[in-house]
Amino acid sequence: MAFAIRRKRTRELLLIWFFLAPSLLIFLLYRIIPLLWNGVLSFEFWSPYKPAEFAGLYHYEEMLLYDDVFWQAFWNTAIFMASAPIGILIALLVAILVDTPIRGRNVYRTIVFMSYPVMTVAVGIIWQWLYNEKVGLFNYVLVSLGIVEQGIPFLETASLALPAVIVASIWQVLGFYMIILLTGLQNIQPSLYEAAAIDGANAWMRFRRITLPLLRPSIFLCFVIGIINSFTNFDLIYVMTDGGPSHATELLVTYIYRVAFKLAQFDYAAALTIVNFLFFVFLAWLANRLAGGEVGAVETG
Amino acid sequence: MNWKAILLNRYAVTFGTVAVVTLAWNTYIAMNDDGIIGGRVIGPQGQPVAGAAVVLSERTLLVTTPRGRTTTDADGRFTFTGHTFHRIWLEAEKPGVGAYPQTEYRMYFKGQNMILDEPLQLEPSAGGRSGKPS
Amino acid sequence: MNRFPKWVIHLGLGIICAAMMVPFYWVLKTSLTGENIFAYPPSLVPENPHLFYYVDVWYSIPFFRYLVNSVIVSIIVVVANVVLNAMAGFALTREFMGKGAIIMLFLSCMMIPFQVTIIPAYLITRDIGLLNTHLGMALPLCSTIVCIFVFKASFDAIPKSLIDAARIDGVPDWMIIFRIMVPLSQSAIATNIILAFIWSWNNFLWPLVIIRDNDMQTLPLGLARFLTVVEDSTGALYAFCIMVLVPGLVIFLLAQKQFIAGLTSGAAKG
Repeated sequence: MAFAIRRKRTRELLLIWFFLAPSLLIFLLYRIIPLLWNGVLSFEFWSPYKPAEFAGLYHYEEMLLYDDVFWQAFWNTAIFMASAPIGILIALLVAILVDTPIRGRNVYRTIVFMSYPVMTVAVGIIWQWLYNEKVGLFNYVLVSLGIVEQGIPFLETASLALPAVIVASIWQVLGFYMIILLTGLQNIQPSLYEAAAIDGANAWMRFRRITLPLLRPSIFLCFVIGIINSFTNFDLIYVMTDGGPSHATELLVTYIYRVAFKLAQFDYAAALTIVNFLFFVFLAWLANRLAGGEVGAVETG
Repeated sequence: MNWKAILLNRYAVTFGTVAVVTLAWNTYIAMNDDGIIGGRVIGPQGQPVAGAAVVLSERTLLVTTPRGRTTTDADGRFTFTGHTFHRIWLEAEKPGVGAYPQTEYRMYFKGQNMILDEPLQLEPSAGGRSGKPS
Repeated sequence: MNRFPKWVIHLGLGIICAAMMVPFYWVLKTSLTGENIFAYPPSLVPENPHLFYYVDVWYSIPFFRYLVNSVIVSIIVVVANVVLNAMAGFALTREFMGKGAIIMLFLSCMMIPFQVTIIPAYLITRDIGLLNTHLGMALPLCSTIVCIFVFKASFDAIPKSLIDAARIDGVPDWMIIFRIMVPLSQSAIATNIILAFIWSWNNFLWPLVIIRDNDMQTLPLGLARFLTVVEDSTGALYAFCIMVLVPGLVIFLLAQKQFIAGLTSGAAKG
C-alpha cells in the first residue's frame, strides 16, 4: 500500500518536472545563461574569431571614463524616462473624460487605445514622415501659421531629435496608460464621491482627496511601464533616427545593438549590457521601495 | 454546436470575406492577364494615323526599358500582346506628322489587358525629334 | 463625479481622438496620392487618389512571403505559449520540493529584460543552428513568465473539490483537463494568446539580429528595410506601411475586448 502511494507520488513528481521542463529550458537558454555569459564576456577580450583573453575591468574603465557616447546614451535614456509623466498626465485627463457617462465613450476609448498595439516600426515610419522637412504635417502647419519661415528638419537637428522621438513614443503609449488609469478609476466606489459631496467637498477636493490617492497604484504602474519603455524602445529609434544625428537620440539599447552588431565588439557591448542591467535593477528596486513592495517588475517580452 | 453561430461570428465573417475577395480577385486576374494592350493613334486634327511607330517600355521602381515596338494599321490601331508588366510607358511617333511623348499607364496587376479609351494624339513636335530616323 | 457640460467633454475627447488619428490619416493620404517632396504646399485632402502604389509594392517586394513568415512565427509562439505556460502554470499549483526556488527563479528571470540578453542569445542561437529560421525567431518568446502566473492564478481558482469529485467518479485525467480545466481558464488562455500574438507580431529587434536571409524576413523587418533601401518611392513606402498595419488593426478591432483585458492584466501581474 505504502509502496503504491509512493509510486504514485513519484509519477506525479515526474509529471510536474516534465511540465516545467520546457519553460525552464527556454528561460535557461534565453535569460539565465545569456546574463551569466554577458557577465563573463564583459571581463574578456573576445570576438567570434579570436580566443578569449582576460581583460579585467578594461571595458568598464573604457566605458565609464572615456566613452562619451555611452554617457550620452545614458542621459538620453534618463530623459526618455523622465518624459513619462507628461504622457501619464495627458492619459489621466483622457481617462477622466472617458470615465463620464456620455454617448460614444467606447468609440473614444477604442480610438485612443488603437495606437498602442500597432507595430512600433510602423509608428516610427509614420512619425518620421510627419516630421519631414518639406512636406511633413508639422512643418506644413508651422509654416502656414507663419511661425517659421522654412521647414525645420526635426529629426536631423540635434536639439530637436530627442523631443521629437519622445512625442512619437508618448503618442504610441498614451492609450495604454489611459486604459490602465481608466481601470483604476472604475474600481473606485461611487459611494465615496457621494459621501464626499454630501460633506460639501468640491470637485477639485474630491479629485485630490479621493481620486488621486486611490489611483496611486495605477499611476505607479504607468511609471513602471514608462521606465521599461525607455530601456526597450529600440524599434522607434532605429527607424526614425538610427540614433542620430551624432548620437543625439542614442539610447542604451540602440548603442548596445550598434556596438555589438554593427561594430562587432561583442565584449564591449557585453559590458554595456551589464551596466544597463544594473541600472535597470536599481530602478526596479527603487520603484519597489517607493511602492512599498506592492508591485514587482512588469514583463514586456 | 450551433453551426449558424459558428458561421456568423465576426471572426468567421471577416476572414471568410477576405478569403472570398482574394479568390474572386485571383480569378479575375487569371481571366484578364493575357497582356493585351490596344489603342489608336490619331494626328493633330484627330484623323487616324497609319504607320506610326509605337514603343512600349517597362517601368520598374528605378529604370525604364523598351520592351516592344509596333506600327499602326490603316485605322491607326495598334495592339501589343503578351506583355508582363504592371506599369508601362507608351510613346508614338510618325515622321512628318508628330510625336506622342512617353506617357505612363498603370495597371492593377501584371499583364492586365487594357484597351485605351483615349487615343494617342500626335503633336507636331518642335525641334528635330520627328525628323529623327527610327 | 464630473460637472463638465457634455459638449465640453465631447470637444475634449474629439480633439484628442483627432490628434491620435491624424498620423494614420496622413500616411493613408500619402499612400493614395504619393507626395512630391518638391511640391509645396502638401495638400490636406487626397487629390487624384489611386491604388497604384499598392500595386508597385506588391510587385517590388515579396509582401506575401513576409506576411507568411510573420504568421508562421506568430502561430508557433502563440501555440507554444498556451501549451507550455499552461503546463508550467499547472505544475506550480502542485506541491513539490523546490517549488519555492522555481518561483523565485521565475520572478528573478522577469527582471532580465530580453534586450539585455541579446548578444549571448544571438551566439547561442547561432551555435544551435537556428539563425535564419522561423523557430529561431520564435523560440525566445515561446514561454513567458507573466503568462505562467496568469495560468497559475486561473488554475488555483478552480476548486480542488471539483477535480477530486471528477477523479472519484473515474473520469480520466485528459478529460478532466479538457472538460473542466480548459473551459474554466478561458480568460487566461485569451490573455495568453493576445499577449503572445502582440509580442511576436511586433517583434523587431530579435529578427533583426538573427535574420539575414531576405526570404525569411517578417513584416516589421521588411518594412524597416524598405525604408532604407528604396528612398525615392514615397508613395510605395507608405502604401507598404498601411499594408503592414491593416492585418494587426483588423485583429485588434475584432478582439478589442480581449486585447484590452489581456494587456492590462499582463501589465498588472507580477
